[in-house]
Amino acid sequence: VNTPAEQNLKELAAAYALGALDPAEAQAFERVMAGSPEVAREVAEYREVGALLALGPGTSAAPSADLRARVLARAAQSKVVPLAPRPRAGAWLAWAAVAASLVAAAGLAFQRQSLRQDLAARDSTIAALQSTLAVREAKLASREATLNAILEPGVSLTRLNSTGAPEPGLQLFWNRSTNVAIAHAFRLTPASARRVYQLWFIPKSGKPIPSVTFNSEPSGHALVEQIPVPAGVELVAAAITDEPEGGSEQPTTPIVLVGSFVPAKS
Amino acid sequence: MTADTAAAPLDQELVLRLAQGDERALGLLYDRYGAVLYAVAYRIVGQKADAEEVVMEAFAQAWREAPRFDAARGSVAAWLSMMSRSRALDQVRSHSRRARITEAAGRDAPESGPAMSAGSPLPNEPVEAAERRRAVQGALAELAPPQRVAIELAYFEGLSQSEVAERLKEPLGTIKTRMRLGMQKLRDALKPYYFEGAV
Repeated sequence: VNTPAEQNLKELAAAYALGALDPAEAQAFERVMAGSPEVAREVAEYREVGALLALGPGTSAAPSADLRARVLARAAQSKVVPLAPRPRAGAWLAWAAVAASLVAAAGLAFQRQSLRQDLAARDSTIAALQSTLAVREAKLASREATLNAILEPGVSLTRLNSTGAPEPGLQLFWNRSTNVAIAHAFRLTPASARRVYQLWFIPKSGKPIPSVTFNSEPSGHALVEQIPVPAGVELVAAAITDEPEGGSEQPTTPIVLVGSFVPAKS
Repeated sequence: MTADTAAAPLDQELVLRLAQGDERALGLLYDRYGAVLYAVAYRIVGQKADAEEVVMEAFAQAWREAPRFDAARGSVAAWLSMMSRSRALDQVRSHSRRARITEAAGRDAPESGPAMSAGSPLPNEPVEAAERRRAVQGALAELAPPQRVAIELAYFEGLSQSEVAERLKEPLGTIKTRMRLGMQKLRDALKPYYFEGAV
């Protein structure tokens, strides 16, 4: 008998197999799937369905006849060191011919041991390389997502300029169709202990609207994504102030950075 | 395209041999699934040359990642298809980003977008493959059109459920239900036609 939570997850299995869950949803689903063989089986089965979808109407004609040769050539170019050890045939055979003694047996055992160690070392090198690659791929995917978000149609860029030295700055990419923004700060000295930076949206009339809090890295950079922009209010500017940890309802210190929004094209 | 005779190695054995650097195994996998990977890629990128480039990348990726193949996650065919789909979607996204940059620079955007039109049937297709193709087309035709559209937008255009909802201007809950029910129906109808080694 499935609990309601398990039932709900099973319902997500088809969407997950289609790659149709939002990233946060997919991550949460993967965590649960790791502990539930039943859900994992469900996903595996929907993946089989996915693999068949391409055979539906709209399928193309056959690929070029030389594609097979090109596939093999491309793979050969990206060849990795095979996991199976390559025996040093010549030396081995010469050894075998004169090795009717215990000394030879001991030598072979030593060689086998050495090959095993060699193989284990290669395995661990490959595992380390794969893990580095996975980290880089994840980083690249995240940068790709940020770049895509910035390049969405309807995104406007506002620069928030410094009110003091030494010239920090902030770029605010506002996607007006989804009302979500990305902020990229630079040369922004990290806030002191128990302090953070806070973003404010300034409406045409009324008080500043509090938004996210963040801190910059020692390099002065900060990247904040998925910032909700208040809808239904005419915003004229955005600003950054230095606030206590947790943020404030209204600014409590002078503005560090400020920039005006260009009115949206109608 | 299949080599499912009694003496033919199983798909999983071929992946094992792939992991050991056996190029013949790669050739055999291409013979079995090259056409499927090409079909996935073509549905997404809509151009023959681009689809062939995707197939080459997908097999090169399989060649590199064979040691990590996990049969518990699905069949070899599903594993290869997923690679073809991901590489094809990457290609479309990268083209579309370039198009957006071009557009932003004030030039004419190139005509792009995945073609979804039907092509000619495969010549000399083996009986089993032709049967499978007919079954898939029949099962898709049986689906309510809104269910089929939701599934195809997710699989072939890489849209999330919320993006499908936005594209079709339908509530998210409706899209979730359509996708789930559609996939359940396909699963029930297509079980006998899964590729070798399916879970």
